[in-house]
Amino acid sequence: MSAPLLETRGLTKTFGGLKAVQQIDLTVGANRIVSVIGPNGAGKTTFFNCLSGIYRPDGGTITLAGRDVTGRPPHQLCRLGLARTFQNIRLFPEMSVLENVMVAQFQHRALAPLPLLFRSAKYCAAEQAHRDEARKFLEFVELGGRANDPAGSLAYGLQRRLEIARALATQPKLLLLDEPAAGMNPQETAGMIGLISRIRDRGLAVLLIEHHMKLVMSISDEILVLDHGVPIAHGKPEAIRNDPQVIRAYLGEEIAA
Amino acid sequence: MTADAVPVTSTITAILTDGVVKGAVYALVALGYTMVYGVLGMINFAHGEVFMIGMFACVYGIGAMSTAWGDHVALNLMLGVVIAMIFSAAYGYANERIAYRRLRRAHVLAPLTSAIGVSTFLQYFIFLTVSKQNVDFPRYYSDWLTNGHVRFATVDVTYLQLAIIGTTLVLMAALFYFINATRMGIALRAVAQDQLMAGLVGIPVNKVIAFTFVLGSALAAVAGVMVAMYNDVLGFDAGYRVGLKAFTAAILGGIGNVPGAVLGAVILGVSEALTTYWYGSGWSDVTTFVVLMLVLLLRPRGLLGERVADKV
Amino acid sequence: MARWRPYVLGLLGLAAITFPFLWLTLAPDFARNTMRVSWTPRHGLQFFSDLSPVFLGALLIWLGSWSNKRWHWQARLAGLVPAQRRAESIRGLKFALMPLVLSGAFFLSASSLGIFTNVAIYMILALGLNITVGMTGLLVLGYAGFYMFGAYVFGLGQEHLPFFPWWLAMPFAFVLGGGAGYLLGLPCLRLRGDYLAIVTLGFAEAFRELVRNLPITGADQGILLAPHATFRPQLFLGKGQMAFVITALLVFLAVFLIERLHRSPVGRAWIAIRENEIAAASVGVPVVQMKLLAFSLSAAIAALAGVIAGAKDGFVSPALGEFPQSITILAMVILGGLGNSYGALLGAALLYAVPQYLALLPSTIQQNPGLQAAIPPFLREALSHLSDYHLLLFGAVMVIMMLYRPQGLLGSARRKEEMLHR
Repeated sequence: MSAPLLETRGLTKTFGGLKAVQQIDLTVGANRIVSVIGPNGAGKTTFFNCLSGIYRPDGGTITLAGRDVTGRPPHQLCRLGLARTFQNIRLFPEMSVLENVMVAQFQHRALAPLPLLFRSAKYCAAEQAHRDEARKFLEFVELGGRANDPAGSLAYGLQRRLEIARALATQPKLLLLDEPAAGMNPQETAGMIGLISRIRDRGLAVLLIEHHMKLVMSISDEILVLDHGVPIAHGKPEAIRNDPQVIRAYLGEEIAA
Repeated sequence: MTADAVPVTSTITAILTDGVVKGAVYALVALGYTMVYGVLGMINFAHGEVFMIGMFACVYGIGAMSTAWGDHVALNLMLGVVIAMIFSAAYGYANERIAYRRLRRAHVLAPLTSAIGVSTFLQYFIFLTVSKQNVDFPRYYSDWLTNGHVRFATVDVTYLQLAIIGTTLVLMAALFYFINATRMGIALRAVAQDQLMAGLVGIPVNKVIAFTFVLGSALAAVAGVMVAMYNDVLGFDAGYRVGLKAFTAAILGGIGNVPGAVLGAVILGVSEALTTYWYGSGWSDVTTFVVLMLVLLLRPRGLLGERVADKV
Repeated sequence: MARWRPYVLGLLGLAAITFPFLWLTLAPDFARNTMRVSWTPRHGLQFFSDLSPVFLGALLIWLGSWSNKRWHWQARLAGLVPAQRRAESIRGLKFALMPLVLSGAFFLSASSLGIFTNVAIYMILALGLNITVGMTGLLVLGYAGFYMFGAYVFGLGQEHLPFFPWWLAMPFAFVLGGGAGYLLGLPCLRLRGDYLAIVTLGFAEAFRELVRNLPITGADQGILLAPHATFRPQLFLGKGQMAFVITALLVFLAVFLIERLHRSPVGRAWIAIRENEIAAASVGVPVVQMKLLAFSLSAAIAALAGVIAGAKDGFVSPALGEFPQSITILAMVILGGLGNSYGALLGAALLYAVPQYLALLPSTIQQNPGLQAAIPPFLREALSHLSDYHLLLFGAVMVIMMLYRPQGLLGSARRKEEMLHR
């Protein structure tokens, strides 16, 4: 195999004096599921924001499919095959569910002004094809029946699914999921586990932030543990489960000692 | 007073003095913009009109007092300033209470539009009820300030100019002390950081925000009276002109940043005075705009502004 | 009783702070260079009596909404026609609209034709501004600057070029206006959205000052256009009819093209930016480029409208770019419903035509004895003054709309939720 899909070397981000993320080295291979876990405030979301271009890292490099993409803006990273969802859901609430997904097809659309304004046959065909494709993504996340509802009217769990459908519509190679199962009941969580493995079956790699240990342990190929912005463990789920440092980070000094 | 005989004023220093004086006035108004922005994150577009209300309230006050008990210059002028501050503060409070409070959690465009509405309303309210033309400031009250002057080395500075710079410095110092050292100041900074959290720890958020408006408006009123005396005229559109300049000053210095507003205002005042001197008064607005564009290009967050990361 | 206390106190407070301005009059004492005031109750009463039609109107609106809450007559009326039929008839109406509007050129009086030509110009402006403010969610406060810019491209062009009629000026102004928008937007669109508001406002002011001070732009008088460059009688159409027909056709064209953009990937990207900028960027929308596109397009449309204004009036002047113009156009977009092209049309029609007809009202009443008898004298008096008050009312309407109907006249209820709770 050639270069790994995503590789970070010494990734660091500071806010004022606070080192939010320090020296993260992570490699995500194609079609792998890698989880990032750690206590609250460990810098997981900051790490994601650096990866997806919302923050510019202060040090280190990010390589996507062999190309250095450190400090690129979000839409360019998206074009290179990286898509994400957000911990606090960020939909386009006034647009319909279907339109939310269609926004994400932007980079795959031809936008020559004249065909667009006068609706040439080719443009209409493309619009129809993308609409159908967007419906497929909605069906994939089991939202097919709600295509024309305003996105803001969906229930919380469904909004998370819509975010995933929207991210998939950018046709990424790597999907970053920021706490996809947050606030979900056991049944919904099981559904989310199924959905993530189906995403992997489509040939995508998934990088996942999650607090829900059952979910993390059941589907991850590898786990990275952060504490205070520093990676403290990295390995297979079984190894992480028994790592004394991880247990200490989660449960505190006294219990582990 | 032999100074009246041959003015030895070197022109360029006089221009600079004029610029600093204008800057001082802009600074007082700019503080209102920057404080509200710092606390609420909204552009209080109607702040210029509050300044204009201050001008008119002062003239009305002086008029009423001179009608009631005659022209006592010092007394009437002092009380006039107080009346201006009270009226401006009341208008500032009313704006916040009526037009902004309900929109505090709304989309950015909503309070801004509302503020533009208030601004238009107040302008035309004064236009319709007070005067469609400019009104002359009663010179009887300002002549002794504009005619008397003190000489510093090569430049004659009028009492009024001194008074403007002095008042601004004193108010600035008071504001600085207030924000950094008093209970209310600390509460204000807390509300600026996180309204919800400030409320949870027992800070009366509504009162603090209302107080910010009152304070900024009272400062603007002082500036209004001084401008009215300095230019000798006041009109319903004075607030819009000065407000625009002051807002630009606030952006120049980095909006939300109190010392920045002062710095930006002085830079703006001086550059404006220089342009007027070199090219004529019609060009001063052009300079303001060019300076604004340059600063935005080179230092997008303003001269003293800090970089704020978006919460994700 | 306790429920009413804050309202009573509020009203008393308002009465107190407006007291001097309403009830006292400044009386300068020129001999001593001092100021007196006099107690003039007539002055304040005049103010309220002039506004009495507005209070009456507000009362009617309030009664309407109250009775609707009580008896739901709006829903009942709508229920009389099935939704399917309604949609069909609206579609049918759209096609009938164009010949109807264009035939207006023949049956409208000259003064009405003039008013409607201006309404059409404001419609184009409102449609253009709606792209940035309504669809993309970027505030522009100096939109009239671009309007004036287009007019001066036309004015200067036809002064210095041998042949530069309006139809040649239009594409030029469109491209140059778009370019000006691009150059202005480039530095500030990378930053916070509300900087654009201030920069455009500064641009409009600076540009107007520049024009007023440069010798080549003819200062405050502006530039008189050669008659051959402006709208001229053609075929069977008079000058005014010509202006109306061309402007109306451009409105139709603008609505058609903008609505197509609105429902294309470009429009979806704009709305996505308005709704959530970070999410839009992270699904691959190039946010800065799309904002620039929206902004330059709307600047270009304003410049085009500027050419029409020049061709209609026969001259261009700095008055086109005044701040109240920008505010008026913004108020049109907001009143109609942010992001809704048809709302922009409605807003433009209401906010321009209503004050104009209000201004015409006194003379109409004067000429018509029937009306003179029907309208009570105090109302007649008030109506004749009301046109002075239109900017005051604009301000009030903007505040009231934001407080009670932030989504505008043609906005959805969803949009209201979104405007009020971020």
